[in-house]
Amino acid sequence: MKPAPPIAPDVTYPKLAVYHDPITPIEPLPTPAPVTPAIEVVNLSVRYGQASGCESITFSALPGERIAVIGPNGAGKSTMFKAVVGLLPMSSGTVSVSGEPCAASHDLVSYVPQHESVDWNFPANVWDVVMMSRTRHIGYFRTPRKPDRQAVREALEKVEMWPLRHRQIGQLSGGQRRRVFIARALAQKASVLLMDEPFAGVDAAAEAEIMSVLDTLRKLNVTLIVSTHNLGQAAHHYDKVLMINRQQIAFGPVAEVFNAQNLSQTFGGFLTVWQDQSPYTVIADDSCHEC
Amino acid sequence: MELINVLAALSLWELIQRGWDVLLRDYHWFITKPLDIDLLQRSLEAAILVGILSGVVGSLVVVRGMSFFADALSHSILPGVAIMYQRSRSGDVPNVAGMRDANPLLWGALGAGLVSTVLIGFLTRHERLRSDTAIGIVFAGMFALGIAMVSRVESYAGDLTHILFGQILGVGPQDLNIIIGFSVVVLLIVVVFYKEFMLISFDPLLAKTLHLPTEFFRYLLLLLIATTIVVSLQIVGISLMLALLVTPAATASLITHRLHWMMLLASLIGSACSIIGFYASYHFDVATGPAIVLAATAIFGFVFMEQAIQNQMRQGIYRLREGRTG
Repeated sequence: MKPAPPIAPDVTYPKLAVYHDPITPIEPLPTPAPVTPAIEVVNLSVRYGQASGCESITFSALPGERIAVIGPNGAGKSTMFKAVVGLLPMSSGTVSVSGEPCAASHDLVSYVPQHESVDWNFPANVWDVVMMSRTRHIGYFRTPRKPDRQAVREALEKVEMWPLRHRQIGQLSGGQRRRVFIARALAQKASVLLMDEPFAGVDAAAEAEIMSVLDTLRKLNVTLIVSTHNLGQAAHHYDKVLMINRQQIAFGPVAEVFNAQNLSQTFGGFLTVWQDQSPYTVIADDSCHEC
Repeated sequence: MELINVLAALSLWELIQRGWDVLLRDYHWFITKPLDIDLLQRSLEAAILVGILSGVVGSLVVVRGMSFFADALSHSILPGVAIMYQRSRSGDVPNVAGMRDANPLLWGALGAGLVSTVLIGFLTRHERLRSDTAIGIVFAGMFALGIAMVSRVESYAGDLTHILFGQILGVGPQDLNIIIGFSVVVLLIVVVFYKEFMLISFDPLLAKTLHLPTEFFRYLLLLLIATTIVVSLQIVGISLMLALLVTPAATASLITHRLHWMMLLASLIGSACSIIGFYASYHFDVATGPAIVLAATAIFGFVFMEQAIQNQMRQGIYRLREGRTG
């Protein structure tokens, strides 16, 4: 992956987005939060050659928390995800899961890849794909046993894909495909899910469908770290927001970090953000002056 | 649609019945007479085995989109074949594992196959070159080297044809044993590591996060492909090897949506093609390799067209139900 310029020219935000409703944080978790964070990333840096992938990222998430990662294309969101699960080597920094440090990757962390990176014509059905994540549990020279089948069934029921388990993956809708991949992470018994752009290229109905699955996961105390392009969604559906543009711009609860300064710093000159005393945040795409 | 299907089935049934009558009447001439000759019987057995083997391994090639690699590999074993060819011409045949009577070209092919597998595997491992570029370079270079080596032998044209397009009638008793041995080993490895191969083919990233030795399985798969190619060399030759790997598997992928069924179906189709090609070659006096490949291509074409027509009909019915026309 080549490092893209900090401000990608093909950012796909609406030209003008006005959020009439004030930013309200979603209801806090019902259970008292435990002390150890589900995942803690300290000072993570990834460098490719001379250019930097992402620089000094620090954040932590409690069990069940939902964190939005926002930033322009090429800001290093995917790079950061891959480094956290151990697909890319970290130049510096530490990742600890449930208080335990892990050098490379951890069984409790699962990466849900971008939709485009998968061959949807592959001869496998929903069941096969979810069972793949049990490969390690099953072990070499063995076939799936009862606990494996049970885990797959539970995961598929949680995302409401059990009735479609015999479907070939290419015959699923966009929302269903993403749910299968969430089920795959659940069957792996992961407690932290890193989801790379799950909402890219889906319509509003599918978005609501995925969101309701994410709500179910929240009740199951699964920590979700989701990269998204949708600022409105980030403002309304997540506990915390991590803003990245090659380096960390801000991390914190939505109400604290979702302000004009951070947003324009994250997206460079592409967004103009007005936020005065009123509870409304107005975000305008800077490229409008060309039209 | 139902009426058309019934009519089609009836006419097809009639055709099959007539064909069957002819077959029964001339059963001996058509089926068993070629098998009276030992050499031909061995050839048929070898061809069926190769059909099964290449169906299974070819399924992995197709789902991973490695057909270019497979084609390149089959061409880059030529130098190894050429070395053995030169030595056998001068009567200097190596005695590998006591199999003096086996086709010496096989060992040369196996050696060259291993060398170019490791070479291509190494070149494509680091992303300094696009993998198709790296494969192309090794492929063309090795193939040219092989041709150059063969061309140093006088009156090479006829033998080169056999190497390129197969010489099924050269299957000796020891060759058959070698083919059986390698087929069993390759099939066993695929069965034992089936779920690992499936995972690594579908999502190498997940395989890596699950700490599977992805590089090991990648090389293992390359070696399986190389072995399959070498074993099939005598049946279809270097140039048509790709068809044996890809066409039955592609046909199967049109019919089924699960990898294990695809492998099973591909080996059924592959061995059926071998049988059809064998008899066609005997009765119509065409070269066996091309006959097998043509049978595979015909089956693929038939399945593809059938599915296209079915799709059109389904869409037509959908339009009728929707009340739309045209």
